[in-house]
Amino acid sequence: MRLLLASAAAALAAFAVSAQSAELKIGYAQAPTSIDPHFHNSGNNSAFARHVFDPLIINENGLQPGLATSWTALSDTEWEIKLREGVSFHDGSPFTAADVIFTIERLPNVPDSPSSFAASVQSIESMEAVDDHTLRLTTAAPSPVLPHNLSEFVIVSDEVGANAVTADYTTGTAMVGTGPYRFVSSRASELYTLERNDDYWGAAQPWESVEIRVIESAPARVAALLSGDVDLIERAPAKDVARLNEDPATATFAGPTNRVVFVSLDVQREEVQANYARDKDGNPLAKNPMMDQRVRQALSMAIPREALIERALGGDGILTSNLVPPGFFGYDDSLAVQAHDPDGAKALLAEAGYPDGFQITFHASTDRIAYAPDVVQVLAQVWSRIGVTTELETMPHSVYIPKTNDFEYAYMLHSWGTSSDAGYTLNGIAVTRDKPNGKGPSNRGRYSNSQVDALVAEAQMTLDPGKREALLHEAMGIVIGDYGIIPLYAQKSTWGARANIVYEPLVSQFTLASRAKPAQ
Amino acid sequence: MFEVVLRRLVQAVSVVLVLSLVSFIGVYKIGDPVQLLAHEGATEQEIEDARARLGLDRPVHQQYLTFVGRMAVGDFGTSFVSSRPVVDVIVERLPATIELTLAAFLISVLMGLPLGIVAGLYPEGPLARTIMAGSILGFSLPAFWFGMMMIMFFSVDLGWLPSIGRGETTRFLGADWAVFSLDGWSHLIMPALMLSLTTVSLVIRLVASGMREAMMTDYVKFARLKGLSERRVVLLHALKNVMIPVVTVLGLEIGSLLAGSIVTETVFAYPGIGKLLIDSINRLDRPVIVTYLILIVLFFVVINLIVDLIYTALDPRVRGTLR
Repeated sequence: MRLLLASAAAALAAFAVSAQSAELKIGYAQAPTSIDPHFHNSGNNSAFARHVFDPLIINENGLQPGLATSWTALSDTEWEIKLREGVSFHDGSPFTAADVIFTIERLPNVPDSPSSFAASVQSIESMEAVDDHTLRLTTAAPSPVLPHNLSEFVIVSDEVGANAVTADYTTGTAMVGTGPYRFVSSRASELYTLERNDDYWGAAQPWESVEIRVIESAPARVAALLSGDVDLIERAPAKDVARLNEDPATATFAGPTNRVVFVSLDVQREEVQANYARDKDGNPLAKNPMMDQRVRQALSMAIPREALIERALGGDGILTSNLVPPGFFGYDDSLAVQAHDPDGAKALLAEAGYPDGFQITFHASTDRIAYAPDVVQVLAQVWSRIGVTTELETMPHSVYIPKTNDFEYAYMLHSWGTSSDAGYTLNGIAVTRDKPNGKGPSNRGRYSNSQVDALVAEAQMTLDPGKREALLHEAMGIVIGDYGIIPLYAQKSTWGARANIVYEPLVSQFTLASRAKPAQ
Repeated sequence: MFEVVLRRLVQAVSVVLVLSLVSFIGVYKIGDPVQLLAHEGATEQEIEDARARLGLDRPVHQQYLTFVGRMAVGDFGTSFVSSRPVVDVIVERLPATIELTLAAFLISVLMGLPLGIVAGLYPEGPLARTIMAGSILGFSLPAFWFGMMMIMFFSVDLGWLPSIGRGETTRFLGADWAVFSLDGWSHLIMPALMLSLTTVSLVIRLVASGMREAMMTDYVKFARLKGLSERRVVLLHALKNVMIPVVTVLGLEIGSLLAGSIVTETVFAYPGIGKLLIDSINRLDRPVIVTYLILIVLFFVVINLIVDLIYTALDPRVRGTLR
C-alpha cells in the first residue's frame, strides 16, 4: 500500500513537472540560413544544429566529451579519438567511426556553400577507423588546436547522409542526428519544431517539445516574452533588462561571451587614405598619423572604458586588456587594462607633433556589434576631447564588410569571437595578412609585426600547453603594446526568460534548449 | 480590351527587364555576399571556392545574362544564402503577405467608406468632427508605434492576442493559408490594423470631402427633387461619383500596402515577403532581392490594369480612351 502511494506520488510529481514544462518556446534573434548543419558556418546555424546533432567534442567551459570520449595525441601529428559506444541516431542506426569519417569528408564539399567548415578539418591529412569506435587522425603538421577544431562541427549519419544534399536537410528527411531533440518540422526562417529524443545518450531533457521562433526585432522579442508567447529569448536589449527583472513573470540571465570589440587602425600605409585624416582646416595630412605609435596610444588612453561599458552598453560588457576575453586560453593577466588618461593622451599627441590635434573619419557598421552606434559616438566624443576631431561614417554590415576586406577604410570598429583560444584570435586578426596561407584573414588594419607572426606560427605548432601559452602571452603582449589593434571590451549577452525557467548562458552565445531548466 | 491587356504586358516585360538590370547591378555594387557570409576565420582559398560555387567569380555582365536567360524560362535561380530555389522561398512566404495586405485593404474599405460617408454628410456634427480628428491622428501616428502599443495593450497587458508570428495554416490551392482558422485570424488582426492605419485615414478623408462636394451638385439636387429616398440618393447617385477617385487611390494603396508590410512584418515577426526582402538585403542575397522586385513590378502592372477596368465601369466617359 505504501509502495503504491509512493509510486502514485512520484507519478503525480512527474506529471506536475511534465505538465508545467512540457513545451519550451524560444525566440531566436536570427534565423538559421539553412538547417543543413554543414552548409553555412555561422554561429546561429551551429546553435540550431546542436539541438538535433552532436559534435565530437563539446566546447562548453573547456572541452568536454561529446560523441568522442577521449582524444589523445599519440605523436606530434597523430591523434587517437575514442568514440562513445551505444549511441544511436534518431532512426535507430548505431553511431560509429564511419559516420565521423563521412562527416569530415563532407565538410569541404557541400555544394553551393557560402562558407564551409573546411578550415576545421584542413589540418587532417588522413583518417583511419581502427575499429567501430576508435579513429586515428593524422595531421600534416603538429596541430594543437585539432580538438578545438573537432568541436566546431556536428556529426551526421553516414547512411542517411550518403545521398543527401542540402535540400534533403531543408525538407527534414536528412535531419537525423544523435542529439537531444528530434527534428519534427520547419517553416524556413519562421518556426522550427523539435521533440525530445528519449534515447539521448546525455542528460535527460526536461522539454518534451521545443519550438524555435525567429523574432528579429528586439522590441518584438521582448514583447513576445512579456506576453508569454515565448518562454526564452536571446539578446535581450540592455534597456529592457530592468523591466524584465522588475516584472515578476520574467527574469534575465547574463553571461560573458567569446567576443571582443576593438578599434582597428591602419598602420600599414604611409599616405592618408581618401582624406580619412585631415588637419584642422580639412586638408589631407601629409602622412597617416597612425603610423606613429604615440598617436595610437593616445587614442587608447582617451577611452574611459568603464564609463563606455556603463553608458553605451548598459553594463553589457567586461573590461579586457587582451584581444580575447578574460579566462580564455592565452589571456595574459599581467597585461593591464589601459587606464583613462586624457591629459597624458594630449601630451603624447603633442610629443608626436600634433599639439593641436587633427581630424579623422571613423567607420563602423551598425547592425552586427550590439550597441555599435552608441559605442562609436562615445569614441568620437572622447577623441574629439583630446583634439582628434572624429567624424563617424556608419553603414549596414553588408556594405561595410566587403569594403573593409578590401582595405577601403583606415580607422574602424570591429569584433572577433574566439571560438578556441588566443592562437586562433591572433592568427585571425593580428598576424600579417597572407591570403593564400590563411593568415590574418580578418586583419583589416593590416597590422604587421614579424615577431608576432613568428610567435603565433610557433604556437600553432606547439602541442605542449605550457609552452604554447607562454608563446601566446608573448605575442599578445607585443600586439597590445603596439596599439595597432586596441581592445575596448568583451561583450556580455543577456537572455530573458519566463520566471519558471532558469537559463545557463554559454560564451559561444548559442541558445540551446538543453541549457534551459524548469525553475525549482 | 484585348489590345489594352497586350499593350500592358509588353510594358510589363520592358519594365521588368530595366528593373532587373538596375537592381542586379545595384546589389552587385554593394559588395560581395561571400565576404559577408564567410566565417570570420575563413581563408582566402575558401572564399574563392565559395565565389566559384555561386558563380560570382565571373564578370558581372555574364552573371546578368545568365540570370536573364534563366528567367526567360521561368528559373529564378537559387538563394545564395540557403541554396533553396528562389521561387520556393518566395511562394512559401507569399500567402502570408497576401493575407495581410487583403485584410488591411478590407479594413480600409469597410471602415473608411462608412466613416467617410458619415463625416461627409454631416460635416458639422460632433461625430464627423471626431472621425476627421481621428483620421488626422491616423495619418500622423507612426504606424510602427501604433503596432507596438497594440502589442503592449492586447498581448502583454490583456493577453488576448498573440504578439508574433502567423497562426495555424491550412493547405489550399498548393499554399498554406491562415485565414481559415480562428488562430490564424488572432495572429492576423493586429498586423492588419497596423498596416491599414494610414489607408483607413486616407479613405475617410477622400470619401468625406468627395461626399460633401457631391451633395451640393445639381444631379443630387435633381435626384432629391425627383423624390428619391435619401438613402438611394447617397448610396447610389452620390457614392458612385465619389468612388471614382477613391478606386484609383485604393489601387495604388494596394501597392503601398504590399511595400508597407515590410515594417509591419518586422514589428510582428510576421513571416511574409517583406521580411524576406529585409533579410535578403541584409545578406546581399541577390537572386531573392531581384526576384522580389520583379514580382512587385508585376503586381503593380496588374493592379493598375484592374483599376483602369473598374474605372471604366464606374465612369462611362472614359470608355474607349483606355490605352
